[in-house]
Amino acid sequence: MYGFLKRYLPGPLADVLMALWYVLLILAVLYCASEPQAEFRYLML
Amino acid sequence: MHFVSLVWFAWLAGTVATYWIVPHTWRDLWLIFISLAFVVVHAPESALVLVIFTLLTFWLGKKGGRHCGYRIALAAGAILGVLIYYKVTVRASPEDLVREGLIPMGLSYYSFRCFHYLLERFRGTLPSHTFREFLSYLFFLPTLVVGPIHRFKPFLDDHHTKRWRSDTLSEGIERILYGYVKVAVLANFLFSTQMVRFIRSIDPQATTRILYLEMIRGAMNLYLQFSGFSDIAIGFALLLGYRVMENFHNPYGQRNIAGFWRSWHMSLTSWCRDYVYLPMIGLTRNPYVANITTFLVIGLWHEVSVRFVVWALYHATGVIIWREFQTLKRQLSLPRFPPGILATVAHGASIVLTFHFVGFGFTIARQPTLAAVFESFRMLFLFWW
Repeated sequence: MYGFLKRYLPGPLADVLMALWYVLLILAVLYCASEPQAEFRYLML
Repeated sequence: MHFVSLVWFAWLAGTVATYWIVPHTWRDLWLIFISLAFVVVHAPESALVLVIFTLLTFWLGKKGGRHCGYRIALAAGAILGVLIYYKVTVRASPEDLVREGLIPMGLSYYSFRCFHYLLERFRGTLPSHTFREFLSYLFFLPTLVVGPIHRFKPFLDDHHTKRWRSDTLSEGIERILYGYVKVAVLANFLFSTQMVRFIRSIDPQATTRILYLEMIRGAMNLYLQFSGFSDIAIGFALLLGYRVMENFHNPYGQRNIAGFWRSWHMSLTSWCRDYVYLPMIGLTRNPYVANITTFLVIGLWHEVSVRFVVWALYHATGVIIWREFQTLKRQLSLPRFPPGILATVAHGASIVLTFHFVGFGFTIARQPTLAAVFESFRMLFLFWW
């Protein structure tokens, strides 16, 4: 994704967009972290 | 213990941080110690089983070569016996065992790693190595609990060449982040909480629609959970300087069932190809028998039950029909679609068809009894009856 942004956008803008993308993902994970965890049968055995 | 939890994240971060701090010569021992501590804390019985498996596999497979086949068969038989015992016991009373902490965490994964090691020892293909290196392979925290079932030789190569590299480190962090997004955001939030809420809001009389949506939800949830855990494991391994094998490669974007099985849980399917399918082909010269045996092993690896035997036969039949269709196409010299709209539609339709075939297969695996499987299929396909 970073390579894609670098190809089509000026370098600093690509860096900022990439940083924002990661921040967005981290916030989304933190927001959903309190959701009940789905049963995952492969996990234990 | 859940992967989306502070506890797991603390283990991950603590392992990576301390791993690069300790002196180079002590790193592998430190990782073995952390992995053992993790298993002791979260599943004590698994620690005992893992230690016994490790000793048994190494000492009985130590000499290697075809002249030591009986020793290797003894070790493989013992491991298989323990694996079947737990698979059957857990199937009988899973809740009790989870509550009492008696389920050997990651048993299916490290058993298959042991089998791989023993079989390669028998073939004499493994490079010379020490017990400490073998311990590092089995007590490797990133892949201990949910795989991938990585192989010994590539692991050993990384073990000798690993070093701190900032690009590998950033790749690992990114991979872990995407893994968490798959598990927490897409699987837990979108395909579990939100989609379940939506399905519950549908009129309960519309059973066919509910079952169909539940099939899609289950298939997506399973893929996102499992590939998310694999991403976290692969990223974790990258942070320690190891590149373990990939487990998924766009399985729901495949155009046929054979393509799906080449891209779904690849570490298990490639294991079964190498140690079940190819030996069976050599033994019987019959691809049908080899196919059915391979899928039975895959099915029983998941769970020792009738429904997983049915699930395995369902997929084996799918793959056999697809292979026969390919042969027929070649014999009849059927022309391919010329590039254009028709080819694009056919491409999309084959992806949708493959996804539905796989999704209906997961419906078999999710139902508690065979009667419930038939009832689900009746409601899905013969809903007017």
